[in-house]
Amino acid sequence: MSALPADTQPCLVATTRRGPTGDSLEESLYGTVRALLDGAGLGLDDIDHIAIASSDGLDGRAISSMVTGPAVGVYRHDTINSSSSGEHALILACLRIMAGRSRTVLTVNWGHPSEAPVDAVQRLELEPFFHRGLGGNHTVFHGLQASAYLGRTGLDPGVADEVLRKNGVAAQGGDEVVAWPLRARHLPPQVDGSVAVLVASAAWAASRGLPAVHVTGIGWNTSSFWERGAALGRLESLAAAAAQAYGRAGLPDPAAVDFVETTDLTPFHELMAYEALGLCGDGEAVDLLRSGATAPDGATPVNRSGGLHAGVPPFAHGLDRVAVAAEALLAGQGRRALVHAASGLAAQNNSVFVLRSE
Amino acid sequence: MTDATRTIEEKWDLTYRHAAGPVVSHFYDRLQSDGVLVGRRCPQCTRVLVPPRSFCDRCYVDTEDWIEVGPEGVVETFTVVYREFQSLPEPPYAMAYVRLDGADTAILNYVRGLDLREPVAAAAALRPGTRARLVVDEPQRRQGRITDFWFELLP
Repeated sequence: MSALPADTQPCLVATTRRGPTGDSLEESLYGTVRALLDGAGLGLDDIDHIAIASSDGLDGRAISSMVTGPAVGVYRHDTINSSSSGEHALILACLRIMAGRSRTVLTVNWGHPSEAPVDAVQRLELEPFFHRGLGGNHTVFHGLQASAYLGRTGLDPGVADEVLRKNGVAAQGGDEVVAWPLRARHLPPQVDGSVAVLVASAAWAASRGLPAVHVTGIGWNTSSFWERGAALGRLESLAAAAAQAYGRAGLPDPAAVDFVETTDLTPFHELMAYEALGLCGDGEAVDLLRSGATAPDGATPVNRSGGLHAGVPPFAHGLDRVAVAAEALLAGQGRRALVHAASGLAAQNNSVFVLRSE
Repeated sequence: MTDATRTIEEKWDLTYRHAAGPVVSHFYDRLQSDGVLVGRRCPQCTRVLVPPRSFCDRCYVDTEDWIEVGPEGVVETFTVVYREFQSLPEPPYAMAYVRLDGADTAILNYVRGLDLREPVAAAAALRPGTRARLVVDEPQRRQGRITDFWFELLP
């Protein structure tokens, strides 16, 4: 994948990320896509395909892409919808380019939690026979994951605050224990917003004179819904996704990239990601953290953007992580980056993208 | 146009009737009638899956034998919830994945009979590796649901 011809090499050429606008969802999406097109000097006619990621439950619209599609420009366009996550829509977009089916694919993803009964929607993600009758949401399952990680490593829960301090994000919540070991300050804020990323072939980007970030490696993998318990303390599917992505990108040492953006659903997830991404050995995440290597000025900065605590809409975490990394590369803040995207009730879906700027 | 925009509120009341299938139905039949938990063994990897499934998603083959598990087991992970969430119980409450003796996978349920007022102390009591036991509700109160049983920590 790192040696694809220019007409099938997927690149990220433009991004737009917007927070709350006060508009309706449809108006907000229109504004986001309009801003991307205007910023890149493009029109809808330049777009071959549109890959949407929408959550019917969070949007309160089914099939959401049918009513939100017009806002992102699907009229008279070939389009596809991912109901699982934005990173999966991005992967579909890249595959369209790699297959030579499209020169440009607009990828759009959003989350408007202010409109939705988020906890009730997340409860619907539980399977109905053994879990839903108990109840649960992402926060509860992230607490179960964090406890499993602490149980595996023997770490003190206070390590979460070390991660927050490293990322330079102000504590937005207090000391209140929400779901042990998670305290309010360990949970990212729930904000409305949307993300748009234009994926194009390297040849098309060059023909338009647009700067391009090459996607040189992609991997994705899914853990078993059923094998939870102690297994929750290890991002097994992230390790598998990383191996795929590194192999395709020809990246023997992930720590050699200029920076990493992870989906830090909680600070404990960032530590689990260090290990699964191969930035350190099993159980060595705290040593890597305390070495300063993942600090903004470290050898391999992780989440120097502040991660999800900077304010990222739910269900758009993954595409946002990619957009943040692409923007940094386009701004000259490094040449190679690694992005980890996660989705699902307990981060069971994991994807990895290896990016390289030209 | 006005600066003050409206919100349109709506409420849905949807009732689903999920087909449980023969394996889940048998699990709840045994729980309701006999007060025991049973799992299914995968003939290929030989793991006993609890909750039971009609197929092993790792080996992708039919499971075959029914195996009674527990009533004791070990906490694999846990949380104690202190914040109130929509559609969830009144906090605080403890939940744990417990791998019952004879099973190879863990099942989630509430842990009761524990003082949850102090989070650090509660977490220490529930730490992974702690032994727990299955407690099944009184026969006349069982409904053939996951809430027919819970866990308590062993002394």
